Amino acid sequence: MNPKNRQRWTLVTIVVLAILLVALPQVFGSGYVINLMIDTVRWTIFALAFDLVAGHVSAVSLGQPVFYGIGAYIAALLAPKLGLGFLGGMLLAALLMAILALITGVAFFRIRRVTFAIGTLGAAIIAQLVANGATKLTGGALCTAGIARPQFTLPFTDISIRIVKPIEYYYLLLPILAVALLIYWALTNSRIGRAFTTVREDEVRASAVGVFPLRYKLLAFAVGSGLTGALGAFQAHYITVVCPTEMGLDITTTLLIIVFVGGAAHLRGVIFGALLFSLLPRMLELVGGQVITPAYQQILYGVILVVVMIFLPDGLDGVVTRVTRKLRRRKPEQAEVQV
Amino acid sequence: MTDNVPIMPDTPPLLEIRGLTKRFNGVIAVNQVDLQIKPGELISLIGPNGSGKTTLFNCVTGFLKPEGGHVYFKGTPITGERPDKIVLRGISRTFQNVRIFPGLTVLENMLVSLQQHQEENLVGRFLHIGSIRQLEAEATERAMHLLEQVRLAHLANEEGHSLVYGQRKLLEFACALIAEPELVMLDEPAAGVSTAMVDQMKRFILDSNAKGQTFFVVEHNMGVVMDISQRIVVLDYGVKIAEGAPSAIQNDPRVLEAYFGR
Repeated sequence: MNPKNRQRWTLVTIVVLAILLVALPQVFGSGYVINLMIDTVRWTIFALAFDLVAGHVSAVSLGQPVFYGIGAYIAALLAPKLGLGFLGGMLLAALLMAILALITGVAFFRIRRVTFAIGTLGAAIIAQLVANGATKLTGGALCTAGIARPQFTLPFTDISIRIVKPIEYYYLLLPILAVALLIYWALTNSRIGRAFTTVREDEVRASAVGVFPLRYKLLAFAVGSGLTGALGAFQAHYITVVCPTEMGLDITTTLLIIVFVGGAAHLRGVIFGALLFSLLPRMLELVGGQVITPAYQQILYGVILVVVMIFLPDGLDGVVTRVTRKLRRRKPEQAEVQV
Repeated sequence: MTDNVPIMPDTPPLLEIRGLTKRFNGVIAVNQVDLQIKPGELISLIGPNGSGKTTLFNCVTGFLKPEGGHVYFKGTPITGERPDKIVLRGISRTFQNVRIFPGLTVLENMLVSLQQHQEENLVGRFLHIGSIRQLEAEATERAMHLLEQVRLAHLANEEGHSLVYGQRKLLEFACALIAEPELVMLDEPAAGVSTAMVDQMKRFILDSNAKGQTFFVVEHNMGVVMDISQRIVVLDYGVKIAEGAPSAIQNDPRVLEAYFGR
């Protein structure tokens, strides 16, 4: 496929997907579908942010739920005190979580690869313990409740919109997805993305071409964590309750599965993974009824992750790439036969 | 061989190493080495296995921090600086066990070797999309020109992992040249490649040197060393034991002793 054709197809895909995303809840208006779509979009954003760190600079942070949880607490506790609304709270969460990532990143990136994963895992466990224990601040296991619904005043008018229904939240989430996709795309399809690849593949060689690996790791970590914090803030306003479980390690498990089963460091893979793992549990519910309880789901996820890691190290995206490459190589021969 | 670049005896050195010392747990890998490289020179560093050649390279390029001594580049001390900063000052290098980025295409390998030189400012890189496009176009043109010279142009869009060993060596060599660094340090450019490829590599190095490119080469293949070098420095157990023209080194009793024993 020549580049011009490919560009056209990419554009068509984007437009079709955008129309689908906007129109689907209008066609299938049931609460079930809308909740499912919110879930899917939420996981997509979360996984995109995670992939910037775990995929693109290969720093598998097992502590991303910390940024999500603190982002939610910022929206729930800090933003109202500062008189900030939904949008202000979300930006504040993004900013503070990016700063927190920069500070902790300098320390965590001193340790390499596996130890980095364990270090961030430790931080995640501690953060959850603190959130559980600091009952005066967070309400502990009883959670922080009563977070305000997002409210907007349309510019130049007195008309005020209050987001209450799931479908309204869905349309509030879509622009966040657009921003996340834009940031992800801009970072990874540029010279910065190329530098990310050098850091991921060979840090020594990266230094030898003038790339300072720490700088790019911090960039990926800060942007990914900022985005995660913003998503946490959205979640707080959506559920209107924030619990320490928002920092739970089951979130990390799901992120790992989405990104590594889908295909790390590949936009298509991440979206694919997010779609699959938002839809899969629902499908399991439909098929198995009450047979497959959440506990068994976790086991099933674990099995899928292990199987994929062994047999498909590039994830599902790698399979798609290999198949399309084979088809493309076969095409000229077919053309000759037709002539 | 290539005496067409006149070297003034009083030109200030491009690279100056003074009393460089590197220890590993009590073993002195590089011991009080002094060395000067003038612009336009082609100098080889030789010595038996484990004599500290690569360690010296790593100390100059910032991958190892020396315990003693100084390295000056164009008169500026660069001792112990970060490797990425040293590259951007104008010293590029290749590695003994050839290192390229397997997931990037041949062309991308070249572009990424130039991009940090083109613009260091991260924020600027993000904002000035227009000028970036221009820089990319310039870089691509320069990369393709170099790839044609080393006969890899037809592989420009192949990913690095699909190259064979010799092609990787050529690519790494081209990557080291693309930013037009003042000093290129090659760690065993002729190791592990076919005889035909050795001749090719020799010619690329000599052609480039004839255009004024300064080279500092570590090499085991004595044929290559004697053919290309204007001056040879010999290390043994981390100590500089001889320095001079190829003909003088060839007959130096200390060098023969280091290589063959007494």
